[in-house]
Amino acid sequence: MDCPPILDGFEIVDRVGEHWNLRLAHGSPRCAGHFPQDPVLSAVGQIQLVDWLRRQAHPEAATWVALEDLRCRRVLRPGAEFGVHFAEHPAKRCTSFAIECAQGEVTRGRMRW
Amino acid sequence: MTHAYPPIVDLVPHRPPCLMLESIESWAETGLVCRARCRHDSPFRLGSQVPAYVALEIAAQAAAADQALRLRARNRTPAEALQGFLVNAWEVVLPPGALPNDVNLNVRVTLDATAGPLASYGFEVSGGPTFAVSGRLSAMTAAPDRVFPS
Repeated sequence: MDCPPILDGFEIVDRVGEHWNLRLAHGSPRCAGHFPQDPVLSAVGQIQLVDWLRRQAHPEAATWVALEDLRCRRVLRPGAEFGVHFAEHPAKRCTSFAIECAQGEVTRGRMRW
Repeated sequence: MTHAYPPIVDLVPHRPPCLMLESIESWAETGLVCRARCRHDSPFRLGSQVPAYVALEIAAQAAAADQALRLRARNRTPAEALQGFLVNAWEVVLPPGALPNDVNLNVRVTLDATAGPLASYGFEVSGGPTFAVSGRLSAMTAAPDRVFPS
């Protein structure tokens, strides 16, 4: 498995190309204050993870200039395992991404660059 | 006349270091204007910078505060028993630079539509000489198992 260090607060389970299987670590700083009684990873925290993974794969990638679409369907709690897939679409100048867990889709979105 | 609004921590379930709202400037049935700040210990920091899209989290927190004030105005369920969840966002325009560090940010959320615990807003987050993000979002305030399946 050839993986760069992962963003703190996440653990790598596996990686195949631009599909990453990760675990949200117990006590992840990415959930600090969101929310103390029932920590979950925020949707923006998920975008941040995709941003980080994208920059590992494409260090020269253009900065995003718009969030065209974001749809949230499930929550991720510490300990959850999930898959992240993203793809660059040069013709449309956008990045699409999807996060899925065993129960189904967590989040899907599209960022323009 | 200056209106006294409840402390932010009485309105939203977020807490530092995630909590970025600082004070409410005004609230009406049409929406909310507030101040926010992204501090040095923010979990949204990537390296030395905070990406511009983190303004979406600030707007979502403002939407949660607006929904809590709306519930209080109707003497409904105390907001502290609920959580706020971003359901979707679209047409979010980002500036080329990062979100300014430790700078007062002006936040405005304008209610577009509401149905029960679900509400849609237009939003603007701005601060510093050039930083401005605008877009649309919908958020739901409820116990998490009522928002999303487990």
